[in-house]
Amino acid sequence: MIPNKVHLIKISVIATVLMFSGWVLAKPTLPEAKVIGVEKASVRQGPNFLSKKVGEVKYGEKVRSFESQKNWSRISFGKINGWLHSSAFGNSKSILNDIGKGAAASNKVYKDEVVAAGKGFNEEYEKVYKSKNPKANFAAVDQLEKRVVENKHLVDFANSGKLQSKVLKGE
Amino acid sequence: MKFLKIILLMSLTGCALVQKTGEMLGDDDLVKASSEMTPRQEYFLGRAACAKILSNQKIHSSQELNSYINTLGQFLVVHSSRPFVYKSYQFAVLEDQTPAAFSAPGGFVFVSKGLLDKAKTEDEIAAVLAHEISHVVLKHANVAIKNKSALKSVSKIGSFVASFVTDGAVDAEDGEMFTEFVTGVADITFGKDQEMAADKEAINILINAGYDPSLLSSILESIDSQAGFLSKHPRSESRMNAIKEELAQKQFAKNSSDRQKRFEKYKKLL
Repeated sequence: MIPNKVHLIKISVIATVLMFSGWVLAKPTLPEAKVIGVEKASVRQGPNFLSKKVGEVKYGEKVRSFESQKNWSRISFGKINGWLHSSAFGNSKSILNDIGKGAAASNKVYKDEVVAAGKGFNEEYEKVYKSKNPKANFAAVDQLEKRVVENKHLVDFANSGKLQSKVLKGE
Repeated sequence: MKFLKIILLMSLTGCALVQKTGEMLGDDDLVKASSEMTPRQEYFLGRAACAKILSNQKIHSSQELNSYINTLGQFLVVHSSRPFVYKSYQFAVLEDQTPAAFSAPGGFVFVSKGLLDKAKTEDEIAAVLAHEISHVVLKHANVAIKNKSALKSVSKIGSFVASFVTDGAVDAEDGEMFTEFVTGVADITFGKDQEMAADKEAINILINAGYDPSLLSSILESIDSQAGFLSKHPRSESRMNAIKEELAQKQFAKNSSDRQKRFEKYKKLL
């Protein structure tokens, strides 16, 4: 049967509606720009600390955040695609100013104030503090910071203590 | 003076208030500014406060005991709403005999030998650590700084930051004032509202991790109110009642004999 003109119009209208609804359904959530506020953070395959690590992001890096599940966000950064806990994000303005990449950094009138904002409590201050306080025991702090507890130790710790952890149960 | 305060807060927070400089900022702006101290700035401030504390406090010599407390702390952290700080949380035992526990910005948490001595179960120590983690999670030090409770002299701090703005460099005088500031931060005492908020957050952490949160009140009750932990974290009737009310609405695990044995094993290392 050869479709007449009316049929053709009906078919094209239906096709257009289907294509449009398909586009609406398939339309991805618009990504949101986020800035990493911690020195480094592991990106994981799923929204859980025990999920496989797929990459790492660093302080001041701008990532794209898509959907969220509880406190986890699906992100992408370069070739890295995975999940990151939202506590790794920071306040974009403060962090970008902290690393000298903020919009305010180019404001000449208030340049000195921005410098002050960016330099509060950093390595430079630590050096001055050390010189003024030779007894301050930074060596002991450094020793503490060398310790790393791997995820497998946390799992062993939970199991040997019969702890019904929500993270371990994937809740 | 107000201008100096604004500049001070900018240095504390790294937040861009430049658009508003020159105008009179309201209290809301100051609250916003102090709550926006970057995690990196929190970390360096916390490091200096810890280095000061560790100049007259010794870390317990048992690596095994410190490792146990650090693992317990890290386990609790992943059940909190802020598992990430700038570097990582660190937990350690101090040799001090006074029952004490405290945290510094950036995630540094200490418990004393005296506190471990008083505790009867791992769940009690977990409760104390969860409470300290909660002060970091809720950024209570930032709020204390905002309220100036950590600062003995605002004018001095103001001139410290103002001189920095003028020079654009850190000099010896800045170092002296920064020293005074760090001393204030190392000695922060939180208010009752902050303690109650930390108790509430701690209860959530403990439940998520599988610990018995009812032991938070038991460790508070077992320690002499004049002793270190409670002089920093004042106990009150309303605080204890708030814990009971919070627990009445929750379901949670009870202390287990497995953890009891584990705790007793590590207590022998004290």
